[in-house]
Amino acid sequence: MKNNLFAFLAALLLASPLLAFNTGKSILFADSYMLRAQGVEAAYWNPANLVRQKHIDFWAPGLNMGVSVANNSFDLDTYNFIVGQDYLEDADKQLILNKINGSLHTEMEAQVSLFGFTLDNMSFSSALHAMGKLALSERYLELLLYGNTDSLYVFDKGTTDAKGISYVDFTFGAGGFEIPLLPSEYPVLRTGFSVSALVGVANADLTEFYGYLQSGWDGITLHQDITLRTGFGGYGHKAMLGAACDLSQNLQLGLTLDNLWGKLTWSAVAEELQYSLVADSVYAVDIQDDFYVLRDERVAIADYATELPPEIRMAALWKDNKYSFSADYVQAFKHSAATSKVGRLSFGAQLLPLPFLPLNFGLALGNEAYPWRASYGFGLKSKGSEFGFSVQSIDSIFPGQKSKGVSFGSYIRLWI
Amino acid sequence: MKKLYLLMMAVMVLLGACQIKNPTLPKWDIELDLPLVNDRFYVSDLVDSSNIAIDSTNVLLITANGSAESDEFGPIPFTPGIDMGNIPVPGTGRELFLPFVDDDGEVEPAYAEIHAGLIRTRFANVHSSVQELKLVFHNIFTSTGAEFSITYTGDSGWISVNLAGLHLGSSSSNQVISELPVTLVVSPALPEGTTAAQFSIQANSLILFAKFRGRLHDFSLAMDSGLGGIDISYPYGIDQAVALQEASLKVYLKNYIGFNAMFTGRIKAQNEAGETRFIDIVDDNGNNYFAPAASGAQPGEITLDFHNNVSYLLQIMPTHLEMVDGVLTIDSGQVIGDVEMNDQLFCDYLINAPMTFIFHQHDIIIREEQVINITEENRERIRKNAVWAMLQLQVQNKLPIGARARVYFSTIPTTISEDGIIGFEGFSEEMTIHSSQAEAGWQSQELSIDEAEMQILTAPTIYLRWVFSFEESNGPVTIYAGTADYIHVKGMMIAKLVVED
Repeated sequence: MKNNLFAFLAALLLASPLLAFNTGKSILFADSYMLRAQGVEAAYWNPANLVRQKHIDFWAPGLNMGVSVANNSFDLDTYNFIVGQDYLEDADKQLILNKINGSLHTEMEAQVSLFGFTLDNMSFSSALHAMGKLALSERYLELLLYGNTDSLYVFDKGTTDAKGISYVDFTFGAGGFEIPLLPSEYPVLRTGFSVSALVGVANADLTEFYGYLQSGWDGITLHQDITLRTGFGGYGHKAMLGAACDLSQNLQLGLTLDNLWGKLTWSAVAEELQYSLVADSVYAVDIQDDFYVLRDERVAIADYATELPPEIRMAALWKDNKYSFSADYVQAFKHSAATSKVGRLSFGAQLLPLPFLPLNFGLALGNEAYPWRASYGFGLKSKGSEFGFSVQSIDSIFPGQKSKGVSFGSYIRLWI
Repeated sequence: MKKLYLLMMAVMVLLGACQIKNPTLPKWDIELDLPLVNDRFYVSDLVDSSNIAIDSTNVLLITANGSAESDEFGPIPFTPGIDMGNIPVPGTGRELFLPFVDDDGEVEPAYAEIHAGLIRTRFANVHSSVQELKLVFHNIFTSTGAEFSITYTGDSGWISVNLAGLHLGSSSSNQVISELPVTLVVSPALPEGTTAAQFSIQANSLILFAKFRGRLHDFSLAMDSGLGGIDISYPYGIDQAVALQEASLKVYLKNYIGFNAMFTGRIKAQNEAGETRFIDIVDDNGNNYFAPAASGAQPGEITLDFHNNVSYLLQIMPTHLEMVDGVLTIDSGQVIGDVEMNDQLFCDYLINAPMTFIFHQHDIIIREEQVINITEENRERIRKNAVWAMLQLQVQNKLPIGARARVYFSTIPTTISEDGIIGFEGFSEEMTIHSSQAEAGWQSQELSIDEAEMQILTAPTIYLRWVFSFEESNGPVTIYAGTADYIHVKGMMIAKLVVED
């Protein structure tokens, strides 16, 4: 039992935020990256910045990537504390539970480039995206640590949830289209668009979860209803519209609308796992009888779609030769596996103490669904290439014992 | 700028210096509350198919009914006392009237079928010219309806004649036969003044009538083997636990005898321990009961309704009741009645005893044993990981009497000896239950389970047996058996277990 328990907790701790990052390099700036993305990446952040260029930009397969794992409750110190104890006393248990605010959320995300290149003001690229989220009610942990000392434990989808989605995009972007006929005193307004064909790999979504455990003098009553929808193999699409303008030599503003007409339809395999367990007023003396009713069915269902709700992003970037600062604000119109209706603000900075050695910092402010995070990264840059990597600490200013998660990003970009 | 590099270096160092301990889960303890049992022991469960019932007001009753029958009436004895000797018989014959009266004066037949009896006659000094000499009885008949006669056969001594099968008088006659008209017939007739013979007759021994019509005076019939009886059984041995305080007994008598009869006797009660009690069969005023005469095939019926002393009788919680020392006394006066030797009295008993008891301490063992199966995995957990355990009991007593409840946890099926001793292997726990007046709500009790007892719970199957013992009541208590009359027992095992590899 204990091994299973550990594996489960480890899985929880190794999952990550569903608030998708579009490309791995954005981790350097804690997601404040809309106006910093150039070349192939611009198709994912703001295609308006796909400006005409003479060189061809290459996105190396597999080397532009980002991985993030996080949870909302435990840092490394807490983990070390738990596994370092021989025996958990009541105070230790309470310490663990105090770290959890109703639900233990664990999230995971990965993005890996498959290929990409630009031609003039167009790009064509592909990337793999995978996101997963698990949430476990604090009441489960109370049960685990204390036993069934309370009379009623309710578990619902608000505190217990599971979602996962992975897909490959094939994205075409074009930009740098200047809006004509604007008054001459107005700054030049560039626009662009990208369209993505999506190939769904796998999807899992807990569509129904409700249960309760009641124990006391009237026996033990357990009701648990779970419906898990799964899909393998699908297709879909989404689009992005972007606009950007240079207000001055140093200041640029941008606006994007992402996930337009975004959805993924799961068609190859679509199933629903329907699980229901009911045991009413059970006493030990009843256990030799059929004291529970179990329904565990896997049924084929019609094709279904995972919606990718539209998301709006606004950004500003100030830069000169040695510094750049940016701020991004993003908010979706709906909650989904990849978006949040709660807006979040992030800031990024790049310093060039040496022309070939960028140092990068980012700070994303948290909200109720998204813990704050700080990013650090550096790279090397030459005339024909750049590479670098970054690390991001979640809920802690520095990555380390107090972090509740960590993200890694790397990038390699070549242009000829 | 150097500071920035230092910052970046610090970040890297911090990241690289992160210590991630090996994933070794610590131990901890949890408390498991495991509801064990939830049972209502209804008073109405005492109701069985035989002797425990519920009346219209939900009062629990001990009830018993049954039928019994008396001995057969038997043949009616009659001793006529006829003894006449050397009566001269004239040559032309003679008529006589023989007195036919019961020596004891108890029996006056108007009609009777003779079951057994003898008559003796003698003809002496018979004249040589007499060719035939016979005695004709004008109200004794053979089975063919002919008059019964005795003929001289040449023997001058006493001869005995069996009267069995003959009958006296007419079956519908209301006229009591007090003498027997007879004729002595001589053939051929001799000249007047000639004596044909000397005649003697004796009928002074007992004659038994199989069927009788007439009058009976102070006629007593002892019912030596009683009127049978009924057996009462008590579920859960409650006869040992209670003493009845009030009861009624009805005896429905059916009299198939064609005479009014005074019924005297006693009712005997005997309990399982052999203790006996008696009450006289008299009404509440101390008078004897009279069973009315049967009319044709219809029996005369009477209800003997006992109230006064029945409680005294039933307080010993009898397992057998019967009428003993029964005597039927018939005095018909001038009224003609009928009886046959195989006529009987039938009776139906009905005992109703509302359960108003005085309680004694005695174990009432619940019949059904409860079984808890424990999986190997859970047994191993208890064996390895149990730190302590406790049994919490909650009892709601809806009865107006307190009790003690004992629950036996046994690794083998429990047994019950004839003395009510529980055979088990394990442990038992006891709690005191207050009466509903003393504590109307739930009564809780915590019972600790020591380490040795806890190991009992590692058996594959645990057998639970409940035993209740009601406390001695200060006075009579009435027990109801409605849906709200029960003892509700809930049991919860609370165990602290260590979670570990």
